[in-house]
Amino acid sequence: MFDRSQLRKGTLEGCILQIIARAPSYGYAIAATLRESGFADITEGTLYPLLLRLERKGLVAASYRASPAGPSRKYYTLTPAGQQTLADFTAAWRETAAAVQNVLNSGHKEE
Amino acid sequence: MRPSEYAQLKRENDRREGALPLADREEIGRAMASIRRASWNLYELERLRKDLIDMALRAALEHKTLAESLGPGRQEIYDDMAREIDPGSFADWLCGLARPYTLWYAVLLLVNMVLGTGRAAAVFLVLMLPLFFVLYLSNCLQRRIWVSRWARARRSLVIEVMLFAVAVVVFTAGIWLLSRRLPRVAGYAAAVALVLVWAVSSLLCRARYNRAAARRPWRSAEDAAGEDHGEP
Repeated sequence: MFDRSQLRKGTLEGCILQIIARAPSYGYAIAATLRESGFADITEGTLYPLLLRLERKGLVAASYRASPAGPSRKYYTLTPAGQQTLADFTAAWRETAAAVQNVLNSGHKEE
Repeated sequence: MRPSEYAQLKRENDRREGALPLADREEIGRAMASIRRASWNLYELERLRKDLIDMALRAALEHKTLAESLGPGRQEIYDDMAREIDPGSFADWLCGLARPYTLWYAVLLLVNMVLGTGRAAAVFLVLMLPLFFVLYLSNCLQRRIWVSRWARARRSLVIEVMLFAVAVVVFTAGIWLLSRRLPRVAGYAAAVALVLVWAVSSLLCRARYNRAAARRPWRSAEDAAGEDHGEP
């Protein structure tokens, strides 16, 4: 059976960067956006290590903001390095997606 | 002098965690037990603990425990956190693991002086550096082993015991080899010097973590402003 998790691992970082690029956001909201987009099993908990990695790599910067309901929220914003990585990811993803699509389409034609 | 941001964060975390239900406190304890073995960076560890406390509080708003909110795969999440947290540098190791030893060394040196001779004190001082080196290597190895999942196996305890045994052997053999070749030293002066080293390193570590807190703050701008104005 095809292991989706490997495919997802490589793309999730780029998707998170894209969500943060639209507007600074916090873990819970990013997880909700990803779920709405089709990453069904993403929760704040599963997302946290990825955000930790992006912060450690200097691609996002985190700051706490008071929340009207509950504890303070950790907002993530994109750094210049994050913007560059997002641009690289977008280009690479389009190329890869097009290449995969070509292969899949050629398979259909041969049949 | 600026207050220690790390100490404030730790105090705040202790206070907030203490107010959580027992199940959440135990879960955070389990998570941190895994994560602490992967990093020497005290500030980042406390910052991560703050996030876990926040997650527990958010879960409580939905009438869930932290464990329920993270689900059955939570140990994997903790392992991922351990892999992704800043592992810390040699300076972090000095601040977190080696610095407290300096004070203990001063105490042991004084005991040594009372019970032994100036020569024994000299041996003690000379062995401090190699012992610190062995301790550092041992900690490096433990961290590397653990992070690479190898230590998740039962072998980790055996490896830790072996590393500790190596450190003890090096220490004991060192004393035996050096004890007859060293001159007498003023042990009490050396003890005072060690306390001074501890005090200076404490100040340097405080400055280090205050700089880290300036780069990666642990509280909201509103809270920080309130703190500056002496508000609770």
